[in-house]
Amino acid sequence: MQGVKREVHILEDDPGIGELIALLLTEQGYETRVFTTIASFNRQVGGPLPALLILDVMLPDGNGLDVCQAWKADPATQHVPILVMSAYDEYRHDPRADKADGFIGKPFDISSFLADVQRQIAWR
Amino acid sequence: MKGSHVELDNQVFKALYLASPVAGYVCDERGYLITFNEAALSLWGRKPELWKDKWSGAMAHYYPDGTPMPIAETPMAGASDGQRGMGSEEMVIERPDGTRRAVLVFAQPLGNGMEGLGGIQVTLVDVTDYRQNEEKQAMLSEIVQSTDDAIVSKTLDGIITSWNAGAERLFGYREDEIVGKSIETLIPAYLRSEEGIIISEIKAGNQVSHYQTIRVTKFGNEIPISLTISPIRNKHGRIVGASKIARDISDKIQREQTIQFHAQKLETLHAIGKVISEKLDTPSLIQTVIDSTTHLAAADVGLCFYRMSDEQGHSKLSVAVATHAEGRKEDYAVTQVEEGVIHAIFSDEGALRFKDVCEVPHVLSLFVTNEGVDAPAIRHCLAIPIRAADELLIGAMFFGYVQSDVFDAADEAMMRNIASLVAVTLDNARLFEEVNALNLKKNEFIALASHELKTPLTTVKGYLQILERSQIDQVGRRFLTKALKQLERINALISELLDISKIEAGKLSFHFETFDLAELVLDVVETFHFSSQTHTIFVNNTRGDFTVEADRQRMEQVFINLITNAIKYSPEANNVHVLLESSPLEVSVQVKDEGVGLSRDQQERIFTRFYQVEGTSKMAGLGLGLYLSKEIVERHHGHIGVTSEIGKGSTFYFSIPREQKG
Repeated sequence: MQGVKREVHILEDDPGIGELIALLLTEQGYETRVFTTIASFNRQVGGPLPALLILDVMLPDGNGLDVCQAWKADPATQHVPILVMSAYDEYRHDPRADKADGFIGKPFDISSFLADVQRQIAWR
Repeated sequence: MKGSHVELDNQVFKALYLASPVAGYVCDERGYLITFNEAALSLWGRKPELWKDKWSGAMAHYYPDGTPMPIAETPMAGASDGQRGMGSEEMVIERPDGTRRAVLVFAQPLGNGMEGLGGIQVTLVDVTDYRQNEEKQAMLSEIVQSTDDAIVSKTLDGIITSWNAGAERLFGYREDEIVGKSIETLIPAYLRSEEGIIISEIKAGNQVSHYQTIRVTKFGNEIPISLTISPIRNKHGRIVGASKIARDISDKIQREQTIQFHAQKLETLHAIGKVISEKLDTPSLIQTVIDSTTHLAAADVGLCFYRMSDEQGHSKLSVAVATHAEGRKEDYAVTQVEEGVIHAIFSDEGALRFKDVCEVPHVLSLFVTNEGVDAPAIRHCLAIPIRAADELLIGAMFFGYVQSDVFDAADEAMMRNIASLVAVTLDNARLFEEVNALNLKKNEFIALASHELKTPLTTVKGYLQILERSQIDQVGRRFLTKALKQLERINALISELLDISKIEAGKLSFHFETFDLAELVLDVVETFHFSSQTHTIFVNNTRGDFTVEADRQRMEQVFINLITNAIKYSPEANNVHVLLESSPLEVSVQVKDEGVGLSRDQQERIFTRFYQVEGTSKMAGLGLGLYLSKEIVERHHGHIGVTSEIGKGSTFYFSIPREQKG
């Protein structure tokens, strides 16, 4: 279960950023799965829950904030910490992000990014 | 005895004759003057030579009509041969100074009583003054008769005593009908009291001038007139009556009304022009225009149809209704009018006048009222198309009338002019909407572009930071630091662009929370301690309560901007001072540098958009930092400003209230 617990799911459409985050987290010993569309992300729902979910907001087939809201409304998933990530700072205050556990503005500083991730996982 | 009596008589008669105020003289049977008196002398104006001048002492003689009268034809010469005589005849004599006198000539032969003396005795009566007076009278009379004005005289009791042709024309009565009647015949019943006032003025010897009133003609029409009434005095100076000159001023009044009407029109046009030049939104502007034009056209209902884009950018038919004071705009069911109807009415024509709207169902349908409304039926319609510069029909004005005479008088040309003004306005509104739409697109584009630019920036920054953490040599690290610094600049520029587009779109949103501003200041200063190798930032006075309700990120943005500027514009200095102050109502932050300073002009313009302090190209940015800071502070209901002295440095400060109301 340890391995699953340290798995981080990333929903990010830009392959460059997805790859970067995966690299950073892998270096830290996390398992990562990167999804580039909400559709592909939803296809794995029902499987094991990640230890952390990192959501980009503007996605080709929808809005990451809606995913956040859905997960936080669902008793089965609401305990999963979620970090919302966007180049638009105003999403920090979007009501759909109310229940999110943190917001990461792009471009981010890798050390504060990793600190955020570790904080979320350590708390659980 | 008899002889002495005769002698005495002669003496008496001679004395009487010589002293008589009437000119008299005697000629012998051949006509030579043998004696004359003083009066004759002064009448002739010369002294004739006795036994030499014949028949007269005058220089020349004329008939009364001015033609010359040969001496042989004079009454005097006529009297001597018995052809004429005894009666008086009129002639004109001329004196040496050229003046002429009209005289009555009484010439009679010296007859039986004076034996041995043929010849004549002549008496000349000077009637010049009388004749002149008569001429003047005739002239005056002629003037009175021929004038257009009505001239009437009346007694003080108001009985008409004379009546000229003008009076007949104006009032309709002939002289023989009205003379002897009361002046009240001409005064409308409701103005009878006027006469008393006028008469009392006249009795006081005053003239009443240009008194505008109403009089009634023989045919019962009331006409506006202007009266001038003067007292008539008899030769003893006593006021015995009044002369009255009346002038018909209907034309004048009509002219005045016309002038007033035109003035009103001009005023309305001016008002419409003013409304159009003011930047009202299109619906209020159209409403104002249709209100004034409906009033101006004296129409009962005015409708203005026009196309307008709604907020979603969909163009739709809109309508503004104006009604006469008693009407109600809500009564008309105009919102149900189909646009096709309007196009059908005008096809490719200009203004249209519909004498009877009942015959034109299209037009009639425009004036349909809502159910249950009791409004007078519109009978006539003046329809004015509103066409854009390219002749495209972009709207229309319809003026509905209940009464035909008002409709007939409606000024179509005027309405067409106004329609073209409205066309310009609608065109402008259309352009304005287009510009707005383009601006919206621009802002959307900037938002999208900044997002797209930040995506690769995120990756680049991430990898550079990973590199920075790895085992690399000093030189490599230095280069990386420089590259990362430039990356931050790119990021800041993109953020500024995004913020500006949001301000323009009115979408710069704030998230207020309560936090300690001093803590935020210290956090920011700490990051500068790491990044700035050149400057030390001193923070004074962090003790106290600096709790504020504000947008944390935006406050940070403002403070970073001020610190960045302070460092940027004091390249020769090493210190920046930050001073915090608090009061029960607000919190303020000052950032003081020891840099180049700003002129008064620069201080005034530094908070404007895209402003760059001259000669600082190496310190370039977009010139948006302070503009954004000002916008942010003001949106917090705070104040931002600067004090500065060239060469000494600048102090930028801002203050915000502790609480955000509303």
